[in-house]
Amino acid sequence: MNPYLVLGVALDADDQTIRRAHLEAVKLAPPDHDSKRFQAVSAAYEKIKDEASRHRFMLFDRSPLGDSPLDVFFRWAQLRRQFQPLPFEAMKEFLRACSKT
Amino acid sequence: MRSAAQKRISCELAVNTNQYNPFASARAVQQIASVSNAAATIDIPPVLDPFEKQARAYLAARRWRKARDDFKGLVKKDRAKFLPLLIEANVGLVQEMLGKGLVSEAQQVVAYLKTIASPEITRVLEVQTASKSGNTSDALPQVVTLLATNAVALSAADRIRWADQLVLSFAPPTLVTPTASPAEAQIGVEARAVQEALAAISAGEHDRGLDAVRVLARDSSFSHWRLFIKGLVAFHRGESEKAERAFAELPPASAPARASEPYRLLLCAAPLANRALTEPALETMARLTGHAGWGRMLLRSQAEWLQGRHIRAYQALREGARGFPSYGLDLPGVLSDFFFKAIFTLDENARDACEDYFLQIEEHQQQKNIAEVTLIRRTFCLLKQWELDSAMLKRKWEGFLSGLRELSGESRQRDSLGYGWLGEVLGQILPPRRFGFGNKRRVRSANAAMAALQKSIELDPANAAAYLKLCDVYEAVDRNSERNRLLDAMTARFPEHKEALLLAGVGCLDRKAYVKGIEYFERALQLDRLDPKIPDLIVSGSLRLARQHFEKGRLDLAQPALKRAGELLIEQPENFLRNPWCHLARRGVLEDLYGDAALGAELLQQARTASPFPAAFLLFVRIVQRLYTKGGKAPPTLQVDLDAVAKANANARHAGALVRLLVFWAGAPDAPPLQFEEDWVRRYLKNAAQQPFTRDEARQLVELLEPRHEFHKQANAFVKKVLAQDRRDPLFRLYEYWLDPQGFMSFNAPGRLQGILDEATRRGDEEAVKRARKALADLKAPPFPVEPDWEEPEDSDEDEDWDEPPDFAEGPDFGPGFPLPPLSPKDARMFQDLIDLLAQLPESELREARKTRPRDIPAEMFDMLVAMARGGKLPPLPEVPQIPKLPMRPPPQQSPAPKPQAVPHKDPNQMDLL
Repeated sequence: MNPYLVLGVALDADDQTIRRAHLEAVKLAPPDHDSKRFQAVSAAYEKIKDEASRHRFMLFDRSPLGDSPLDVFFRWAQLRRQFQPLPFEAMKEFLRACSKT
Repeated sequence: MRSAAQKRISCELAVNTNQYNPFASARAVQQIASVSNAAATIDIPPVLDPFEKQARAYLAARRWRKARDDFKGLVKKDRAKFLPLLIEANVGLVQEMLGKGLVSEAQQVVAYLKTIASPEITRVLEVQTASKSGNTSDALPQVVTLLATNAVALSAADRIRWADQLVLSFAPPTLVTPTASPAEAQIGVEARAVQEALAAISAGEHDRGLDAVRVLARDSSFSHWRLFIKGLVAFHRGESEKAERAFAELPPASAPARASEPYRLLLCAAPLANRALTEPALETMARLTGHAGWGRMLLRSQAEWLQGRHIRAYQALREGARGFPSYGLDLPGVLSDFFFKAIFTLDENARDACEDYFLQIEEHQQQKNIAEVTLIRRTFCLLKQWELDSAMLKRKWEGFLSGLRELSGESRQRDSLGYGWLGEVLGQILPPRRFGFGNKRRVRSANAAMAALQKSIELDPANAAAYLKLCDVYEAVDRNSERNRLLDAMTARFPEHKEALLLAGVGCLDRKAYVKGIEYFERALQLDRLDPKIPDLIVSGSLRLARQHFEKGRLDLAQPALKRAGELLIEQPENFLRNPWCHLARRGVLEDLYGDAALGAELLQQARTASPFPAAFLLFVRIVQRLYTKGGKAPPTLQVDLDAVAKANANARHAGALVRLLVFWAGAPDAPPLQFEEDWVRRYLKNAAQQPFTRDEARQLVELLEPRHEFHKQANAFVKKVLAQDRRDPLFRLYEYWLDPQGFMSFNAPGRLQGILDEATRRGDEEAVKRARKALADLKAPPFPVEPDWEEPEDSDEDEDWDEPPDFAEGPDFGPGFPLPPLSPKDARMFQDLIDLLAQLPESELREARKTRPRDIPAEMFDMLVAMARGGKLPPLPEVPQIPKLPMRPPPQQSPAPKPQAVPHKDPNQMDLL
């Protein structure tokens, strides 16, 4: 799991930003509420908490974000959670396609 | 309950009078159908007209066409009586045709029906026919009327479907004419409200969207659209749970329910597994994430990936998407990251194929952008770090670091880590040479490793790991003074770095700077009081310091050192450094030799009493005597005592402890040659084997002796004795096999192991089963691991490629009259290694190598190889008997090159502890 996406920080985020994002994420997913998410957040923080860790991640990390291209797409979209509204024409087209199946 | 006949009457009334009856017209179609079904079961009154009888029989048998034709004729005779039946037959016919997909034929029948039946009946049929034909727009006015006046005539699914069609027609407002009824006008208003809401959401105006659907009543045919709009708004506002709740309530067969799937997937609410995603859905998701046009590419890439065509999966995106590959956290960035990291998780064949493809791109400079070539180099170096030659690895890794600078900006710390990694990989300590010769540590590419590590330190002087690795490399290539300087620099720079302090301390002990060494260890102990190796090192240093003082007559200075060692003693029988009785024995010998002899005798007596058994004490004291005495002599009385003990009291239980004691001293750096002690232990073992012992004692002893070639004979004695008791004991038969120098080479080895495995299985001896299986597997593996050809020649320059090894594919040139079969490339390389080694070994080491050569290499062969390596004359070969040709077995499959363990920093447990 990409730690930057998990914590929602940019690639060039500094220690303080990452720490803040980590605390925010822990607040949203405390261990007694969502232990899985908490573990993911903690693991992500460990990977990029300081400059040396971030460099090591950049140089040597080998764990892919998902199992397949689509899986990666979903994980990325779910972690990023920044969605744009569909253009009206695209929405019409999509809804019509849904009505045919 | 109304009878079927009554139902028919009311239906007929409705048709004949053409009056609107909400109950009759609402269920007209169902009633007609139920009547036709009922007719098959009720008693039909006697009919005089045979045609009528025939027609009714057809109707009852659902033979609609025949019934219709007959009733057509009958209607002419009695319209009032037979018209309902003719309508019923035609309705049945339309339903049958629609069921068979005969839409145009059905439309013709509906057109005919419109001339004889009421609009309530035909409207439903018209809508159904239009629905089947796909030409919904023509039927929309009918749908409006139907939904407005007769919605209950439709099933819930049909009502939802038609409401969806009405919304998704995005018909102009003129659909509902000014002459429409209020109910029809309301339907038009509701459909337009949904459309307005959708438009508002597309424009990002969420409140307007919600306001638009407020007109929809809870029981409206469009009420599910209100849920959908609510879900969409919540989705875009980031209210995941609210969105999911709204989407989950949608009727499953509705268009909004299907349309909500991509949103739900993006919310992580619906699992991806086993879900067949359509291209429109995926494209919608791509658009929602701001990547219009990616849906098709992703779908194709996914399909290729799942089929195991990984390169094509990559190509699907590479060729289709302008921004792919890239470096970053956007979609192209994470997908690029995925492809270059997923390689590490693929099986070997798939990985090789990907490597070849990416390497082609890099070598032919066909990269799409700098990100691609950078990612390729990174992946390639991490994958092939054990196989690439040093120069290529360095070139590619530096290329990667340079690319990273371009993509992500300059960073000396990152570059330092990168060069540190390169130094660590190139500074790998190689496994010992084959054939067991030579014990000098070999480094994969010492010069290149040192250069990389020095650069790493230069880039970031705070990179402690680079210092430690550089120390390792210096040690491996015997650059001790540079190593010591580096260690001193490290301890000054990293006063709180435990590993650095320990290494520096050990370096000090090596150069007899004991006080400084102990100081380093004490500082390390302050940092980590729980690390057991630090007290070991302090005791080791203190004892050496004490000995130095004793030897120089500075007895007063020796005592504090001994005292410090005494403070760290522990009751561990196997720790011969910090065990109290061992400490007493050491002190006793030192006092005896250099100080107060009486005190020495007393201390030795105390040590003897505290020791677990006399033989251990005697052996330990003898070795300490030889170590501490100038000239390495021990009193002859000790030898006599030892011999007596070996004769009188030898037993298997104590033998193990004696072997461990010997092994401890054999690993000590300045221990004297232990030939006598080794012989004595062998004698002890021999005598112990003649005494009674348990199977478990024998097992423990053989486990200890098996890895030590010099004790195989004695181990065998124990094995044979156990097998004499139980000749089928699988574990001891395995020991027998391992201790047999020809065991694995004999032709019957597989059968022998299989027999052991069968017996172990029969007895349920799990340990023996496991080990027999492993032995069988080892037998099938190649005899020697193939080592990549990465070792740097002594005189090589870091940036220069060295000469290729001689080609022995045709077999080495032994000169005329020495025909040999050609060697495999692997054997040729091994042979070349051996010859290189023998050519370079100094005379002293050569003599040692001859002495310690493996048993299965005869001395004559060894001499012959040395002569060959050094260009001397070959000694005459003995006559070789003609060996009949045997059928060839297929060559064993080559296993991949072994990956040497990451070079451990010198383990202080194995450091010089004496």
